[in-house]
Order: sequence, then structure tokens, then C-alpha cells
Amino acid sequence: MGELNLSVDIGGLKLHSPVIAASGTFGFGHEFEPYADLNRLGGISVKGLTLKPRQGNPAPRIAETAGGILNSVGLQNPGVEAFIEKEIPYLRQFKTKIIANLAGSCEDDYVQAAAMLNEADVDAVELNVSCPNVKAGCAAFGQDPIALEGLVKAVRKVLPSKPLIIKLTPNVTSIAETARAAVSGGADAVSLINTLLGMKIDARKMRPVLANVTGGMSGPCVKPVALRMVYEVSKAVNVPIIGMGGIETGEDAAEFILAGASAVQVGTANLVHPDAVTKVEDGLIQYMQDMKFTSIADFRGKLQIG
Amino acid sequence: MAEYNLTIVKTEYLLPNIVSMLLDISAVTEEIRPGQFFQVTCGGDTYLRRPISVCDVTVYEGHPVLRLVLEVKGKGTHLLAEKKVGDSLCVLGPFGNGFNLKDVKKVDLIGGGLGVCPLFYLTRALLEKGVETRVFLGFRNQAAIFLTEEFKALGADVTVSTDDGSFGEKGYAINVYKANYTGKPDMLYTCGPQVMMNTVVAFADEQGILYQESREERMGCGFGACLVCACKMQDDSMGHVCKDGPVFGTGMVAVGGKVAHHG
Repeated sequence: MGELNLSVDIGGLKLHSPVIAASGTFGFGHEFEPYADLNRLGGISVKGLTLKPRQGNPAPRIAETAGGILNSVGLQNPGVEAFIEKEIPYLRQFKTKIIANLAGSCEDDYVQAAAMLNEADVDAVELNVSCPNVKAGCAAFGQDPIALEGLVKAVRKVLPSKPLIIKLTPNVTSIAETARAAVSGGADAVSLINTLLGMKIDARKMRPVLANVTGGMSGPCVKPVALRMVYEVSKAVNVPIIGMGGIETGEDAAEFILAGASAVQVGTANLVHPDAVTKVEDGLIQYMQDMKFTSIADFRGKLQIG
Repeated sequence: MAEYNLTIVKTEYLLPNIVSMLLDISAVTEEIRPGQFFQVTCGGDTYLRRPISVCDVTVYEGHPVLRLVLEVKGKGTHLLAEKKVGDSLCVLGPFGNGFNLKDVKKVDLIGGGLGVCPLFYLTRALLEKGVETRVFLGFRNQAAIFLTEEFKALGADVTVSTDDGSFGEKGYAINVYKANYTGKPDMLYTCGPQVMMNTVVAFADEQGILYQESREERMGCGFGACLVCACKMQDDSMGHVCKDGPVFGTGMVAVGGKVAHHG
């Protein structure tokens, strides 16, 4: 048996491991340093950035549901400029790729921020067109294939030198269609799924639990939906896919790769197990050894049907 | 801060809905300070850990122990209350900044309801430092009173009150404090329902007393990653109760501390 090779190429973004920390669950890495060797991560998709700083939504911003959570943080972040100045130097200490997750509420914001990131020391940009927690824009782009293609084209123009990943929302009728629109616009890769729009109600108080009324659901409860969507998108487009949604173990990660993903992101699990990213990688290595696979390509999309 | 599996060495109901647990912390080498908290895994079909404040760090039958006192309220705390001696709890922590005990000689503490728990370890630590400590503990009614005798056993000057006067002095903790006010302490520490702490903070500001309040907000991770427990600071920046708090001092939190709804 040959040596195990975990490296993957996501549309020009070369990762030494397919395990990436998902945006919004990993901050800028600081909080996880005591628990996980950040050098082992293929990449870190940082907390969603916007052109200007955002304070986010009112609290409560989180609610628990069976097998997961609902959040309505609302893209609280320091803005692209502060990220470039303060966070990139910190993240560069580690042998992991920096993926700048970028959100916006109008095309101009995305384009201006993307132009700044094109000049910055980041390894890729993940366009967040699917945050369900901000009122204007964001998710609307991800739900309309025509608007999405236009946005991706506009961002592509100012971001010629970095791999561009489009993060897709599950809150659509056909995710294959939005994936195709992203690729037509010039995406190098797609990542999915963002959170599923949901709600929790306190019957005794007769009120929604989240101050924002609705929020994005994530965690193990969304995994079956995420797997189905990765599978559908893998049949629809030819760019690499980063799969995510409820991944907590190496075996979960393997399921996404079998469904067609080239890499995976670990999100909500980080909040309860701050070493989740390294545990997932350990488990994935174990799976590959057990199955006698030596590379991700050995089993990517190799789901046997019928 | 790290993940620990701590064995339960004692459990006890202080009230029908208040459980006290002692956990063996022989394996914990880091210091646990008053005002800090742990994120506790509850099991069952709960997903998030529950933040539970440190009520005490002491010695039980020769072992160093952490005491957690919790109100049995929702699904998670019901599951925790069912744990038995010998079971282990998976915890992450200790988290949070904790109370600052520096440069104080004479202090007052005001606690309300479940908020008396973190003040217990604080009282022990203050008394060990030789700080003159007065403690005002307020409860809804006589049936809701717990831990007060243990506060007295620590050697603190304790005043117990109930909102309805069914035990001790009658009235809200802040009014009982005002009635017993003997001049500015070096620090006023408070923990309890936010409405109660707001009255304490207003009085402290009015009198020019330095204060420290231990705030509560619904949390996700407990260590600053998810940005759920946001709290607006006076300089307009966003603080997070888990990492920047839970203890906030004079002039740190914006009035109300809430993030405004925006369009």
C-alpha cells in the first residue's frame, strides 16, 4: 500500500488536507489554538467578512434544536480592512490556507471588498451569497441564478488572481441550478451547504426564541439534506465541491467525499468540541486506511448505486 | 482551559429545583477563579454544552473538588440533575475572566436568586484575603432561599431578604442594600437577574462606587468563537459575555448592553 496522501486541489487552491474549518464557527482561529494544531488544517474559512464592520443582530442569537442549533448572529465582523491588517498576520503563522469568506448586501460592496482581498495575502475567497441572517441582499443573490451569475462575474473581474469559491444556500428549489449559475459566472469551486432557514418557538412564552425570529439551522440534523445536495451538485457541475453540513467524524467526512466532494468543512461541531477539526482528520485517515484508499481521488464520488 | 472528564463525588438537592454537585478536580492543574464558568455536556439529545458558573472550589474527603450549583429548568439541566455519584461529566473550561479581587479591603456583594452561586466562591476568596465582606442575598420568597447558611458559615456578614418579606428583610435586594448602606465600599460585586443588576449598577454609578457585575447571556461555544453572547460596550464595540466577561466593571457595558435592531 502506498503512502497516504490527503492533499487536494480545489480549483487552484492546494490543500495539504481536505479538512477545512467552516466560516462562522472558527472565528479567525485564535480561540482554537489551545485545543487543535491549526497546522493540520487544510484551510480556515474565516468568519464572514463585509466591506464595513457589522455589529450583528440582537440577542438571543442562538437556539438549540434536536441534533443541532439555530443561529442568527448576523455577520458580526470587524470588516475586510481590519481583517487584512490584524488577522492575516496571525493566521500566516500556521501552515494552513486562509480562505476569506466574503458577504455583502449589494454588488458594489462585494466588488470593493473582493478587490481589496485580491491584493491581500489570502489563498482564496469564498463568496457567501447565502447568509440567511441579514435582511438585505446576501441570501437573495444565492437564491436567484441570474443575479448570482451576474455577481460572480463582477467579483471574478476584480479577483483575477485568487481561487473563487461560491458558498451555496440550501434554501432554494434547485441547488443544481444555482451551482450551474455560479460556475457560469466564473467560480473555481462551490461549497455547500450554508444553514437551512428555520425557527424555534417557545410555546409558553408564545414567542420566537431568536430575537431575529428566524435563524440558520446547522449541525448533525442537516447532514442528510447536505449530502443529498452535494450529490446533486456533483452531477450538475464539473468544478470541485467542498461539502459541509453536520460533519463531526471522519466517517461523516468520507460520506461527503463519496457523494462527490473534494474537501469538507467542519462547522457547528467546533462549538462543542474545539478539537473537532483534528478529530475529523484523524477519523478520515482511519477510514482511508481501513478501506485501503491512498488518496481522496480513490473514493471521491465513488458512491455505488444500484 | 481544556476538556476534562470529572467524576461526581457528591450530589445534593438544596431545593426541589436546585442541585449541588461536587466534582473531583485532582486532574485539573490550572487555577479556577471566582466568577469563571464551565461548559458542561448534558447528554441525551442536547447538542450544546451548558454554561454553569463555579460556585466553589474546595476540598471534600481529601480531594480537591469543584462545586457546581444549577437550577433544574430545561432539558439539559434535567439530564444533569439525574447524574449520580460515580458518573463523570465532560466539561470544557474554566472560561471567562472572573472577578477581580485586587486592591480591595472593604467590599459589598449583592446577589439575587441563582446569582448567589458565583458570589459564594468569591466570598470565600475575599475572606481568605482578609477583605471585610458584607453579603446581601435576595430571593423571591422563603421557599426560594438556598446557600445562605453556608455563606454565614464562611464567616461573612450576611443579610438575607425576600421580595415578599416571607423571610428576612422585606424588599428587593437593592433596596435592602440602600437601607443598610454605610458608605462607599472599595468594590460592589453583583450577580443576579439583569433587572436586579441594573438597579445595582444605577445606584453604584449614582454614588460613584466601583462595581463588577457578572452578566448572563445565552451562549453557544463559551470560548469566544461563535459570537452569540454579544453585549454592546460603551465604546460601541461588541463584547462577548463568555470571553470578555462574564464579569464587567464600571463603565464597560453600554446602558442596557443590548444590540439594537437594525434595518
